Amino acid sequence: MPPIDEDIKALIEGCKKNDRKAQGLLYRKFYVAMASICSRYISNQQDAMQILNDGFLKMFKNIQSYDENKAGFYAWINKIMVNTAIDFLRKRHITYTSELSDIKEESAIENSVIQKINADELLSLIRQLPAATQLVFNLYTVDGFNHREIGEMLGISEGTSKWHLSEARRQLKQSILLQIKS
Amino acid sequence: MSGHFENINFWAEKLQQISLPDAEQQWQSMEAMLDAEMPVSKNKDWRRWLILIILLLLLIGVCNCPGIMKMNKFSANNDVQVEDKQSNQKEKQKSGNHSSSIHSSDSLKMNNGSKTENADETINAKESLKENEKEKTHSKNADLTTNKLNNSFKKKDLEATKNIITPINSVLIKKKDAKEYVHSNKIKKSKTSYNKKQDATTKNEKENKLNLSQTKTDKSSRLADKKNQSINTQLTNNIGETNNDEIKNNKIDDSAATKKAEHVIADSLNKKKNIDSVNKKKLLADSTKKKTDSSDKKRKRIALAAGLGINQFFTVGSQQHSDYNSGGTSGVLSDYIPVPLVRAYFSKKLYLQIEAQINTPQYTKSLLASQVIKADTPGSGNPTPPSQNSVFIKKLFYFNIPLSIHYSPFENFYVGAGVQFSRLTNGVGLFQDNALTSTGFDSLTLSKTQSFKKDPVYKEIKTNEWRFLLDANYQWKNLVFGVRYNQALSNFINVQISSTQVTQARNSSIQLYFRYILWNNKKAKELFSKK
Repeated sequence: MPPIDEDIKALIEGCKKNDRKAQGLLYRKFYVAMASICSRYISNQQDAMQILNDGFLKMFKNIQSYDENKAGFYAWINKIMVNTAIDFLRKRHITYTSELSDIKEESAIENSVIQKINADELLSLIRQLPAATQLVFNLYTVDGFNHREIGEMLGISEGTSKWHLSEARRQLKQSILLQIKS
Repeated sequence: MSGHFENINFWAEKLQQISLPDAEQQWQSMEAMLDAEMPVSKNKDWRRWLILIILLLLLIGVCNCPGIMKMNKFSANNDVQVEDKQSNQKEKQKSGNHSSSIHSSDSLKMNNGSKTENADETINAKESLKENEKEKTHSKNADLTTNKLNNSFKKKDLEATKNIITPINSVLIKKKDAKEYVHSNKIKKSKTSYNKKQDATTKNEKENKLNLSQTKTDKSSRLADKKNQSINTQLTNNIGETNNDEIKNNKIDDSAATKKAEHVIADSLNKKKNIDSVNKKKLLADSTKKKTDSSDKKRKRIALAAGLGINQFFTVGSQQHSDYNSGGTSGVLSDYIPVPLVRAYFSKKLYLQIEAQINTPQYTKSLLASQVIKADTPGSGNPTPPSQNSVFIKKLFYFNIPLSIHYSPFENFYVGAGVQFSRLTNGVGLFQDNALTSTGFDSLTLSKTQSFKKDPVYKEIKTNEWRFLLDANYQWKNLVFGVRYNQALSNFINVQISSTQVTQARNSSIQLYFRYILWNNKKAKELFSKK
């Protein structure tokens, strides 16, 4: 675990004292990273920004419980954001339908292919995926959770998680190829 | 998170390049959420204000302290007496009695001098006595006299300190009473404001009820009219159509008409209900619009700051320093009345500032403002020689309102320029009476320094004037240190003393100051929290 930057340490201390200036600076420091996480999980940009602020609020409220010996600050705040996004999606009652009979694990999308498309276009393609598939894809591919962890987080089986990932890869490959061709 | 490494970083890095909304806008909404969920306690601000109020009260108390006032008056009277004695001394010097007059004035000073003068005198006396002791081989008589002198001076010091302490105690007791009074007043005010609010709400409710009842009565009357109209039309139609033989049929028709009328009424009622619901929706929409408008207005608020400060004025050019206050007595505490200020920030680097400087001293040259020769009217008893009464301006006091705009070329350093409105509030002058001698009006009979607000000289001085100002300051956190120069755009005095002598002068002053920013509004805080 890399040591926390001294600046961030000072900001965390400020946030613990409910200092608005420190909170503002910390918010701005992690804005891009956290906003991109929320944008990946939530298709609607307005909702994504609401989730971002809800996540930050949760973080500011619970910053007293943050222990730098247990986890890095980025990992901690990242987890809060992901959980906030999952909670939001859970309220939307997304359904994890899966055809478990024919799980054909789709191979990962190659980096060279992703490089050909710009970030905004890639995001719009991810957002076109069904909500449950999009969620599993984000958790597995971008945030690095495994199927067991995803299963525990979402209350689904590992097989279902695998199916959604495979489905996401298949759909994304098709849509990326179409995008490149067009 | 487990350790599978399917180009995770690549995806994350790629997706961090997406275009996002402005962070500042998002922070504003975040800040609003934080204000609602985790409000910042304003205890520190209150403490700051409380300390300031206490300091102000202390300052006012010290300025108005009867002991100090008495002492000031006492020393001023002494000055007058000394000046009178000095004039006598001059006369005596002319007649040749140099040594005796000097001794008499020295003795008078010893008797009537202020506390500090006494202290100096004690040191001098001690020293001189010590020298005498050495010279006279430590004689017992000398020891006795020194003891007596010391005791007498100590007694005087004790009396003086008693004079100071007793009024301070009385002021402290008064402050306690004042605090209680302020507290009770606050409670009264809050009660009255609460009652007023309640009255207003009950009035509004009554008005709303009245409006509702009026609308209801209007509705019912309209409905009744419609009912009557429909029945009348039906009846007239029936009358037109019927014959004497068809009375029975008419009866049936009437019942049908009433049924129809009932239908019409029901329809109209439904329609009105619909209209009411539409109106309600409209009202709701209007109220929400108003709310959003007000929130937009709040967002567009100006960044404001307020604070207090103190000035130290210095002489410019041939101006002479004067230690007299606006009451005409010596003492400069009242020259340091705190200055309130308000700032409006256009940006972090540009702001507009307005101040209110009360009882600001304005040093001047020793300007002859008036010279009158008085002679006894013929026929009056005890003829006295003609005398010349002169008034010299020593110091003026103004109420200033400087308005300046400041720009920061470097971080924390601001330069500014602006205008200042100054209104004369008081003035101190040296009043001299000279008696006529064989060589002219050169025998000084009276010399005293006092306020000339009630003197005709005051009318000769321009009451209102405009000045330009140049300012430079350095701001460190909430503390501001600066220097300011101002100069009047016109003369404050333009008096013809004689056919050959005219007094003209223009005000200018230089000041060092420090200010303390006590309060920033939300917008200002936002402005300065930005990096």
